Amino acid sequence: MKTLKFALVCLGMVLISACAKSGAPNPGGATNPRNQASPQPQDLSQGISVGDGMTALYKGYAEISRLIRVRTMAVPSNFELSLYLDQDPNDVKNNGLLALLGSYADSLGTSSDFQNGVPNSINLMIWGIELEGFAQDVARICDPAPAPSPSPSPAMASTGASAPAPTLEQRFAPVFSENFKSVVSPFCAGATTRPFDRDSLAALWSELLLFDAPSDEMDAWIAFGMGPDVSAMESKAAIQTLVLTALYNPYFLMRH
Amino acid sequence: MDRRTFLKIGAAAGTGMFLNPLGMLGRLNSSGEVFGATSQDPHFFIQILVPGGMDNSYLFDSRPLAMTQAKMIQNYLGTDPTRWTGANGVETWASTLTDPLKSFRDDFSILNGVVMSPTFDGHNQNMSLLMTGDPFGTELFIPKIGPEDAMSALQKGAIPGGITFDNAGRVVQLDAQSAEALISKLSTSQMFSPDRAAFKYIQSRFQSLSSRFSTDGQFSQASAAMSQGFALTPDLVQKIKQVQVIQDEDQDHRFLALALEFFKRGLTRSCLWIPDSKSRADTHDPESAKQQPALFQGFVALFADMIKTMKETPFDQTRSMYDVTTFMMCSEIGRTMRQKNAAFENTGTDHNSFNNMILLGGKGIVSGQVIGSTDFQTAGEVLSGAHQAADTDLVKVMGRPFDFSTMQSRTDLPVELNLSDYLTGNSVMNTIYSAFGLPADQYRLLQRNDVVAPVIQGLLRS
Repeated sequence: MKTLKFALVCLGMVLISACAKSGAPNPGGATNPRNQASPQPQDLSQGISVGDGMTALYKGYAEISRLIRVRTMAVPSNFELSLYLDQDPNDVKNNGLLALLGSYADSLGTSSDFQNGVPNSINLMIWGIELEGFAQDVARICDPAPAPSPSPSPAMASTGASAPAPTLEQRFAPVFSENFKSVVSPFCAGATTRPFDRDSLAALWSELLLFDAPSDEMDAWIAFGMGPDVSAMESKAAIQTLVLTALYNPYFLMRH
Repeated sequence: MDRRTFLKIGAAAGTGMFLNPLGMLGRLNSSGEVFGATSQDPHFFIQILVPGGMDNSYLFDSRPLAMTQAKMIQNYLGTDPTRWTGANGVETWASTLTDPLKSFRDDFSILNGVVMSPTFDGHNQNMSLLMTGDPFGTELFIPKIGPEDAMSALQKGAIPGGITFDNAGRVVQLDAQSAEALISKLSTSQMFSPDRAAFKYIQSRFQSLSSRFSTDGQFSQASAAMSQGFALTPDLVQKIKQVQVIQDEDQDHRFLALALEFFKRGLTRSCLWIPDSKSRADTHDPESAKQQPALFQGFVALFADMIKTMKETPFDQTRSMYDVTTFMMCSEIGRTMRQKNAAFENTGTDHNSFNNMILLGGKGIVSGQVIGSTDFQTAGEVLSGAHQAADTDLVKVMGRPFDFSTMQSRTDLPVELNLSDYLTGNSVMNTIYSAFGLPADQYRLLQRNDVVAPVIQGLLRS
């Protein structure tokens, strides 16, 4: 079953690659007048020259958090990526950073506009913090299973004392699926297995990215994962780096 | 940290801690001209935007109670205004609510009778006109008045009405609380180090994807934006981690302090400040209209606090933040004196695009002046044909014609409305553009297919 899934993912990525290489435009792009005036290729030394009206937009916080949840977590799951920002997506007064990752904002009840979807330095920082936190948690799959938590004390149970409100960690913490853990666990072995083997890397990429990116993007990532930088890392640091670099990618974060 | 501690930190800046903090920002625009901030000539911008349309009569374009007694204009404050004389000798009626601003009278100029859109009286069209120069424009002016920084502006609050701008991708809506959370998280993050393998790989993918497809593809553009934005993160992270976020129950003051910190640290040069959403000025219903004294008391306090704080906050050893910041406060539109079909004692007010009021001051601006004036000063005043045609219900105050060469309102009564006769929102904005050194070919037009809106030269400090 896993082999079939991987084959389908590869087929999908090949198709995406073929489409991309043919220069096929975004279906909406050909008729979008904002695309007519194309800026020149960017030169970092000249500052930012991208016309914001011409960029693809982020998928947004809610969608990215959902994708990670359905691809990596045990079912059911309350996982929220906002955990790593100490923000509650349901607390509209205190989730200002999440709104900067792309969200729908109601406008007097007459329209619903997707806002803050254009990449900039600040939202890239926020994505980085979230994905870095998630990658660290993935790396903890390598840790020995913790001892079972003690049951509530009989005294507390019998008196019915009210428990404190659950923390964000308690509400949104990741509980990874057995399938995802099985894909990550080969990377937990010691440095003797370096470089990581291509199939293990491809399997991890498939779990995280699914059909989001073309095959040559996966190839670039696998080359990085088999390269000297990652090979020199201890296991958890390597897993953290691999997960972060797979997800911190336009194909995953952007609509396309 | 209390406000006093914050000011002490600001004073420390003056001793050299923040010397030359804008070195990164001293860049050239696409025309090769220096404008905006350089280490020698820092220039910041704050716009306080009050969506909904302020009723100017509660500030600097008031009317005597005799007009209220004649049932011409509501006045839920119930006090007679006083005369406010500008340094240029021009007078206006000032509501007693403006008393706290008397001690700052030389720190800003008052522009009365600013005509916005002559053909639309809706919020969105006039907001677009104010922010872009066109009732249906999509290019926000703020990114244009400075070099292309990583952050075009720091923003508090949202512009209502679903208005979006094509070039606002680097206008960041970050209140003090969110900034505090971001700073806290960045202090433990390790990923924005250019030496790390992950950083190098991510940057290489952004760069590869930005040039992989045709350059006008939306995905390529997004990848390019990510590449460029990501490249700037190491520097920005270091600067943001140094930002001091003050604790204060007044969220507007807290945001102002944050904005000044962002300015000083070289994180951005502009600030779009939309006060608390409870402070909307769109007082169609009588109950809201009756709340205006308290509402405007808040606006005055906010404006006064901004000037005071900027003057007390050092930028460097010789200059305060006031010295290096141009600021303005306005709505997108003004309001009628009353509603035609409502009982006068229980009236709200509607939109009036023929009379906006703008407060302007700071760097590059000659402050202390009263510029422009409005008609309908008395119930029996003879109005122009242009006014009568545009305001058949006779419930609107309208800007008087304005002579840009003498900086005086004219006394003639135009038969037809011609925008070139009036002080317009686009002229005010072109004056700000001029203060920031924008090339003239970027100036706004009076309206579509018209001439460039004239700069108000008498407002510019030479």
